[in-house]
Amino acid sequence: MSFALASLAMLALGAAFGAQAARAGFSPTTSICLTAMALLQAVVAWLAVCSPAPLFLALFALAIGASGLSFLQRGSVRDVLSVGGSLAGVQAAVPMGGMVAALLIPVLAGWPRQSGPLRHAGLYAILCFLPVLAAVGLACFARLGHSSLLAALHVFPAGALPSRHVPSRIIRVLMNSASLIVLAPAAIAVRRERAAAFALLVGVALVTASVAAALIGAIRHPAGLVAPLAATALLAVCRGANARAAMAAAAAGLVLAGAYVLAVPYAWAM
Amino acid sequence: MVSVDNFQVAKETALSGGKAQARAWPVRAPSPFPAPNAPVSLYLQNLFYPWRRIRGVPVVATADMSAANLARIRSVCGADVRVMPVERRRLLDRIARDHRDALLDEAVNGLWRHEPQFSARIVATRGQMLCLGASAAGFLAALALAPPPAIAALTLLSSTGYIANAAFRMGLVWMGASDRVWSAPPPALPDDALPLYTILVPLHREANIVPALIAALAALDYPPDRLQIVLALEADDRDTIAAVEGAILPPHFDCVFVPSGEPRTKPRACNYALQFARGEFVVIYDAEDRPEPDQLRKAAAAFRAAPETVACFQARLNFYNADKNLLTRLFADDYALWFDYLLPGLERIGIPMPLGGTSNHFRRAGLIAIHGWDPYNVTEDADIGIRLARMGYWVRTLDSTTFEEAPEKPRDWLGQRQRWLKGYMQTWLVHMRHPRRLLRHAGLLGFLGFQCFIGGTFAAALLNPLLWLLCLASLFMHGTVASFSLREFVGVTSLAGLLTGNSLLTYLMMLGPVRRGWLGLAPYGLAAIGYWLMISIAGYRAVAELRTDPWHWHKTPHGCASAA
Repeated sequence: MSFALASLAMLALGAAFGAQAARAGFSPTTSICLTAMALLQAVVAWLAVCSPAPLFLALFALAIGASGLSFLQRGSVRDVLSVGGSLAGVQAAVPMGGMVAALLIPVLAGWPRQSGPLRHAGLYAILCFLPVLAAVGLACFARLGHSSLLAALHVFPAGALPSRHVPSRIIRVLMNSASLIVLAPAAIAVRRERAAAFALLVGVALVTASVAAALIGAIRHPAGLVAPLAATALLAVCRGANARAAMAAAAAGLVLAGAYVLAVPYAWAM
Repeated sequence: MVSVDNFQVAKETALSGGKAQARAWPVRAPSPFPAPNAPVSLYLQNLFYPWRRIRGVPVVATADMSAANLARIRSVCGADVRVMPVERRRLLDRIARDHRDALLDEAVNGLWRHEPQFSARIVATRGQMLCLGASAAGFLAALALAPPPAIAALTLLSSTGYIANAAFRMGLVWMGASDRVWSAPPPALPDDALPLYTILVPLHREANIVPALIAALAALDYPPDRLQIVLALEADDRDTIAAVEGAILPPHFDCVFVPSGEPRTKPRACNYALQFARGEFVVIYDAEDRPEPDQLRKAAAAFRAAPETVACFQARLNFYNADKNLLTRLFADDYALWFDYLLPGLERIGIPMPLGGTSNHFRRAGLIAIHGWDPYNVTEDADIGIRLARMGYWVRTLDSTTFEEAPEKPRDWLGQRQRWLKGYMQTWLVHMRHPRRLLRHAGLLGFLGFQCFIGGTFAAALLNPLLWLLCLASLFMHGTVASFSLREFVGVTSLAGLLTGNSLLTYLMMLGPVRRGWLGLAPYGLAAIGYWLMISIAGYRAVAELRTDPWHWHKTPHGCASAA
């Protein structure tokens, strides 16, 4: 069951990454290389966590990033529905999804393009509607004893840890925060389009939510974050970097992601 | 009653600064010599009228002395006729008076005579009555024999239908939000390529907005020599006639006096006035409308770029008094959703589109080919959109807005909504007289879309309170259905329908103003549940009125709002 789900998620991720790279106008070789490097990071995360949950989280991160970018650029109803739907969906995937939504909605509503208090209130209302509805639905669902839909499907088992040793809260916070290093090359490479920074913000929001979860005592394997961060980094470089910078950032991201995943067990054992 | 002749003379005197210069109609009584088989439409279209014989020579009066028209007159009336120029308004007035009965008969009975199956003169056929009666009797029998399964089935059907209606609308919004809708407007036409355009404005008890109407129509950016504006006044509506009398009408305005009679509906007046229209294209505006100045130019360009099978363009509608109160804000959300997303969604999928009540731009030939509006249908606009589709024509949306006045009082709003829902029921009943024919004309998708959009609109209004009722009543239910407790089954199913359906519909209401950028209206969509309860009240009143007074036209009062 888990493997079948993971395979499906991998296929979907491959298609989504490929579509993003192709849309950026890169050559087929560059597109394939970028897709392969991002997919490799997702696979690494999957193997490290022994659960397909990071793959789903990567899909949601990509959906939030792509629809959010589209919303900021065009602001059409389709974008509102997509971004609201993906922010609702990420809550269904992981408990920290609610925090991701809470962090990103003010960014989307407060982007400089918008103005006026009523417009602002209207934007908040239409952006918050689906995530709030999902939160209410999931709160009811949680009363049945499940932390999330994926947990209920046994896709993201609680406590999938690299060892039986549970590190201190500060180590968990530090390790979650350190995952941001995967985004660093993309952040440096993005020069072409300001809105592409939103994709990076999605990654930052995911890490922030993970850190907050660690602070309040949640115990999760931080290596799982590599998959969604790879997705947001790919999105950012596809929208905001030229081909050469994108390739360099993806390669650097892959190396850093590998190093980070290898480092987690050592930090976890501390 | 105001004399028409006095009215015309007064207008011309006003226009000419006190000196009536227009050629008056000769005072001698006419003895017309209608050309053999010449219909009155020929005279109205070509602005000529056989007047009388003078010493054996036939004299034809005309308001168009162009060479082409003179040639046409001679081909119709004979080469030896004498042509006498006459002022246009007088000519039209004379033709209207001489052919009053024929014109009125065509307006009221034209569709009924030619296509009786499309006329709402008969509300429901015997077969339809039998079907409805059998369904009701079947349900009552089931309720008497086995109450729990009957109630459970009713709940399940109602809940599923309510959710399906909301999901269908969500799908339409997704399709209507496509970038391909209104993405590339056709290039504007130069002035000399613009066609003759006719604007029909039916007026009834709207004396207070005549000055604003004339100002709005005068503000249109379209060459006056290519524009014909027809004000259709009810002949017994003294106040409005007096208001028009008191205004100075530009030369391209004509007044048509619709003889009083039943059914007293807008489509009857439109049909009557349509016979006076000469433009290649015709548009309907309501008295309080304020179309964007370039709307006619956009429509003309769109028609030129579209194939001949596109018979109509529907402009977007919204309100200039949207910010007046909660009701007008919700109505503006509703209208924005309808015209900015749902109708474009129907267009994209290829489902027959019910038109809005105003700003429908038609090819006149297409409109005449389908025998105009149905005077017995109180949403003649919705009906004509479906009829056009059934006769092989297409309706498209036009990226231009006409601003209207939203009713500010719940009572006015309720009357208007009651009429709309009654009209949708009429339209559904008319087109479902022969479901197989509808299926053949509209195709499977069109057929299903018609059921969901026309049927779904009034069905949702009727189902909403039913679901609330079932949800509350479930608390007092006992018994079992299959292995479920009836109370739980009915309670959970109705609640699921209400929550899912209402959440989706609320969200759609909030999304309505996005395309227009009126995001300040979005939060008011959260109050949509109360708005739907009002729609439901209107829906049940419409059902009652459909039985007792199917053609009654609830007149919406206008002219209460100040301009935004």
